[in-house]
Amino acid sequence: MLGQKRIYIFTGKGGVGKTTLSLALTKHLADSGKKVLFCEFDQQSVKPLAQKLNIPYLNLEINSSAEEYVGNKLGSKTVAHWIMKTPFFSALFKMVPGLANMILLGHMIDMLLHDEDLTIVLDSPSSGHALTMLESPFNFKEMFGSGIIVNDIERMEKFIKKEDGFLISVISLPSLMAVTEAKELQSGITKLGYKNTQVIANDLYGLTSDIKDNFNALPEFMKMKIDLEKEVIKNLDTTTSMEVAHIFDNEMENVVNVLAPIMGGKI
Amino acid sequence: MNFMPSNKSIEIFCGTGGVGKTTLATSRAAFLAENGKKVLLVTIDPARRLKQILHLTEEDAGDVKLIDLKTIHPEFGDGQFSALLMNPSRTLRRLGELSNTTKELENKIIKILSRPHGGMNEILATIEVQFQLESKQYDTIVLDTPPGKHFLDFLEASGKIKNFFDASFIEIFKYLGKNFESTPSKAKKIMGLIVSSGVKKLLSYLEKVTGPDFVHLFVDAIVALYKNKEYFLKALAFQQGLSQRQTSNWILVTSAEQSKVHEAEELQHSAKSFLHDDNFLAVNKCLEEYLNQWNTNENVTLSNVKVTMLERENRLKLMAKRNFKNSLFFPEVLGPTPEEHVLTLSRAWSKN
Repeated sequence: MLGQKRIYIFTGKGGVGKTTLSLALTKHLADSGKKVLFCEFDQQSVKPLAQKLNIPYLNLEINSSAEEYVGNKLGSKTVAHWIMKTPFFSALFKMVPGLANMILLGHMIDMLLHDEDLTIVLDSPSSGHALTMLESPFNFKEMFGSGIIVNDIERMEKFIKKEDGFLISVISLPSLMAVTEAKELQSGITKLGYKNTQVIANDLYGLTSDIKDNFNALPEFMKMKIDLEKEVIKNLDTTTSMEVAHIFDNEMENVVNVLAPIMGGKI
Repeated sequence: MNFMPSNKSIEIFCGTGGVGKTTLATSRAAFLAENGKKVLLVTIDPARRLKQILHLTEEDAGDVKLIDLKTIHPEFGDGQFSALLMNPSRTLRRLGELSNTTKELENKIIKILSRPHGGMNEILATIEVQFQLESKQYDTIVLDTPPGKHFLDFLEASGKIKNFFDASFIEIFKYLGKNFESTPSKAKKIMGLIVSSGVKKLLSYLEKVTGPDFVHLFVDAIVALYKNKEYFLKALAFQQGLSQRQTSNWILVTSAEQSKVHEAEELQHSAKSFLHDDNFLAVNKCLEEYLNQWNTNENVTLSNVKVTMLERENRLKLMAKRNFKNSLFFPEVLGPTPEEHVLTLSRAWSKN
């Protein structure tokens, strides 16, 4: 069960359905009248699709976010602009991607703290990079020791540890190796202190009615695929995982529409 | 179909993750080893089960391990290859030993940044491969890159990383009274001037935001990295080698299982400046063979399922033909163990 949360983060390897599932959840929340924003992490690859599907879209871009953040801290936008333009800082941002990640994460938490009614759905970068992002507040707290940023990080930490704050879903395709990796990532995220995490086994052929209703007529390779899926499901802990059916349609727009009520049903 | 040349000193596997990139790279290493090549497989962070078949544990990270093909699967012929699980902090330690900066690199900031997800992975991976290449022990290094296009972004960002070591930094150090062997370059850029005149202000702002301890640590970290400048820049120069046809094969891995067309295209786009004629799109987990043999009889639902699945693979194949000179296709392996996957895929290389 997803449960009502303030920020839903979807991660997992490339092509496992992060974008599709996060769009579907946002669509469901928006359709049911909630104030919700869909956010991609420093990219805008599905902006047109989101607009087509009437999904409210949040533009979050690293450089301007960072400038805004530093500007707020120093009380001057001009100074922030000047600082960010120096080769020193642009190099720092290139070398230390976690810093930019933390600023984006902080930016979203700020938005949620300012608006009690807002929910954010984040289509996050794939596995390793998601960990870089989720780890960033803790890493930087250790690095900085004291100062304005540390006070800020402590505020972020408080939000991270709230019961209804974050839900982080690690999406995986239904193969044993992929699910094992997803579980490793999930436990890594839990260890960082994030309260709610789950594994989503996505794209299960065996869950669709087309397949279920015609099981006996299936060819051998499809039966083998479905047997492998069953093995995968057996390995999942039901309290911290969720299963989503494969949708036999090659248009992302249709898939999002079909999945929106399904994702809604899991909240 | 073109065969992939196997006489290159480096083969780079890129992909968005979850496409079987590491398994495919492992099968390639096994295939080359079976054919008598001296191979080193450098991998970033494979799944636990794949680590198991390579007999690697977290503790081995940073050490080169010899792997006998027969221990992966008894059906393999005689042969062995070396495998290295990347460990960024080990690479850093080696760097320290080489440049006599072990103590400086003990810096807290550098240590945090060189944790497995700390953010310095890509550059340290490049330095590591450079080290291994210079050891001249191997015919081929098979490099399994970190997932996503981030590795390519990183290679492309070389100019920006050079900025990190540019003259403006020396100005900062001068102001702080730190020692430097390298002399500042004659040509000061306007930006450098702005920074140097504003160093004091800049640092006071930084102090305000991050606290004074950090500023000290940060400056020390910069000094330590600066002392290793030569190695970092050399690692960047390594990029030039990668873009030469006689040196490398580029393999962009994608999977027929997922809707990857868009991502593969994006990957190819970002890799454009490195790709030469020996670049390959490897389409993994193809079901076409199975699908073509599937007789759905009169069942309308199943025949729709079949058509949808075939169409998905065909889209990927059309894209492959349109954008890549060479495409390699690997079948879906319907066995559960990674050992079987590696064996079946390594057999498929001889057909590719």
